[in-house]
Amino acid sequence: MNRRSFLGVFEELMLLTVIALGDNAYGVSIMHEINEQTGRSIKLNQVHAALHRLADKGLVESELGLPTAVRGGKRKRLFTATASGIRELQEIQRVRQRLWNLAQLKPLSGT
Amino acid sequence: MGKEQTPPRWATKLLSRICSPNLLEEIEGDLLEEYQYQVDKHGPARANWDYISTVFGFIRLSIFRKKKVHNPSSITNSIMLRNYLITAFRNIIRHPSYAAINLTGLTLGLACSMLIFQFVTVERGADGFHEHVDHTYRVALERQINGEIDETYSQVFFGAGEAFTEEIPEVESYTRVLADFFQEGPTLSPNDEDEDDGFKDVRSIVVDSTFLSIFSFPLMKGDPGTALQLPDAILLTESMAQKMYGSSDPLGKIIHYGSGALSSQDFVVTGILEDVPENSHIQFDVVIPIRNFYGNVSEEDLARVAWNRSQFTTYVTTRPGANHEQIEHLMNDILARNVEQDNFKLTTTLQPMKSVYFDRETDLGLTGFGSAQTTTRTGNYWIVYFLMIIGIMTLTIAFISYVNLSTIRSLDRAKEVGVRKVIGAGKADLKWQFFLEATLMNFTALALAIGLLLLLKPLIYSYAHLNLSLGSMISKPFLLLFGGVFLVGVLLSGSYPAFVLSSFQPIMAIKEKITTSSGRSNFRRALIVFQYTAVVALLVCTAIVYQQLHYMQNKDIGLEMDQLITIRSPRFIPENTRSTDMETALKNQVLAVPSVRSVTFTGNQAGRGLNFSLPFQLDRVGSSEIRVAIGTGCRP
Repeated sequence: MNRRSFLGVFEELMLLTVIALGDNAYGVSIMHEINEQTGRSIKLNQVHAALHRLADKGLVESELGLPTAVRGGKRKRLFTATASGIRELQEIQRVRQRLWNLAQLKPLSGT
Repeated sequence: MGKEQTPPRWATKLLSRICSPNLLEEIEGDLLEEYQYQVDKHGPARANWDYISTVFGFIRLSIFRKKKVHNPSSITNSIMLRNYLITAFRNIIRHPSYAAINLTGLTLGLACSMLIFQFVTVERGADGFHEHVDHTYRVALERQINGEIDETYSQVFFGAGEAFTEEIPEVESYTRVLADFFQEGPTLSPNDEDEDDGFKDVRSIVVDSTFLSIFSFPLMKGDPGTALQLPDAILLTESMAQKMYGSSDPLGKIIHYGSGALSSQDFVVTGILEDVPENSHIQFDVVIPIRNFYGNVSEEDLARVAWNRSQFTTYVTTRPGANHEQIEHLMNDILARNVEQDNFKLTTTLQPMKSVYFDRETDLGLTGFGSAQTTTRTGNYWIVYFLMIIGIMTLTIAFISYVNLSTIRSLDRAKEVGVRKVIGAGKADLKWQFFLEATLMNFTALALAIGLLLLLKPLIYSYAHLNLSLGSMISKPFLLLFGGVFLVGVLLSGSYPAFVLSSFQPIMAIKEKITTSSGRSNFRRALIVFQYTAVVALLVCTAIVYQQLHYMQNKDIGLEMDQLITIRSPRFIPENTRSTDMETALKNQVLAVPSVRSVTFTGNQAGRGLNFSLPFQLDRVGSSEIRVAIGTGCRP
């Protein structure tokens, strides 16, 4: 219960994106994916900070990939979700589902 | 892509500065990739702007800085650490005199300041050993005449404590403390012995039974709940019990107590207290319950004198968080109700327990009366304050001399620095090395200083009339004060040589072109000037104090004290005997002792001022042998 409360919405989004991108999840690709899917415009520094936090919490792990020309010969760091990261997302999903079920028992306000 | 667009170089440089080296590659790569993407999509202007703002965005992420990259030659590496230690050791072996001077300076400085800080923390922590010290107060009485405070007394009315505790809910309990003292302290003798063999001038206090719960004078033997309940109970301190009974158990023994303000009577030992700490403002050898003091006096009579006699030092404990001004206000109301105040006004104040030891303003009342031993003790805050400055100064001088010695020797080390740099040592590694060396030196000196102190402790303590327990050296305030100053000193004195020595250019060092450059020597000159100024100031002060003490001890006061013995004359004279007859008889007896040259009577011990009307006078003057002056405390 405690640890879950630490996962912010942005981090949750980030973790999902990392999983969605499979073996091509690194700074730039994650940023583009999120910006595309959500219509936000987040910056690289935010992405790196969030990835760092996720890594600190043990929800993602990373390894250095191969250098590419477009990166000026610099290697990229590829991220994958850890088992506990996936569990975390599933737990959030479950909580959401329960709450939705509860919410549907009452008429939704508005149109 | 395709176009040779590159992001602004300064931004890249900035990134490499703010970013931890082990994260730099991936971040730079990501940034560059995104930059190219932006150039292709929105053009260089937008891309540049994006790039720069992202780089600035990284500044806030302090986490990227904290994680230092692992450097194989850093201090954490055990091989290099060993090498540094070996080098340091070799340097000591190769230059033994230099090392000796350095170590001696540091050791003496540390030992000196440790001793001083020990004294300072013990004094500053005075009365701090009481568990309830933070809400214990001494009640003081202020006498005001025409609205001005005339005098503050530490002693209040007999009934004050009781009235305050009963009528003011915030006051939890009280205890009165009264020194049993008349001319001198009482004489205590184990009952089976003659009173002549008793222990004279014992520091005895009369207290309420709450004394043991308000103050933390721990009982080694006996029950704190009942020890002071019986009127004829007496508590001894450990050393008093040791003096009277040696190793046998004193509990339950009967003590004959005489010659104090109380009438002679027998007491039963009900408890043994630990010896009173040096830094307690209440000092005593024995404790007896106050019930004994008023003995058989009836309750009505007690109530009558409750607001007549004001010689009782009274301590109260308040509930935590109580409003003191309100308590004082209520106390004054009670005082006004009970004590008639015509041309003066009496008010009470609560003096925090911790302030009492350094309080030299409040009149402590007649505890002395010419006796060397009293039951109160005060400290001088200024002495403590100045000693602390001197302690810090001594340590500073020691550290400065270390800095000077190490930087002066830098020429010798320049080659080593040069070679190390050529092999591949970075500046940071060299800094670590020299810092480590300084730390090593300092801690060696610390160990030596502790050894020195332990070795010289008896000598120093007896010379300076100090009695500090070793326990005060591992007390928290001492460790905080000394440890703090020591660590700051190690840090500063270690880092300056480290910076100087690590900055040599290898080529210059190997060509022996290094000279003590002028910029640094200015700093060193300043250090030397400070060091010598401080040393001279300390020496001058010491000289002045020494001369003053010498003057006080050796000034010709018109009395030859060296060959003089003062004894107390009997104070009880049999009936039908005149005191002059007694004196003559005593004098003749003393004169019969072969080594006694002359005998005289006086009103008080020489140097203690005049008591009553009998001046100090010698019958025969000019003898070099032992003379005896017989002082009468009170002549009938």
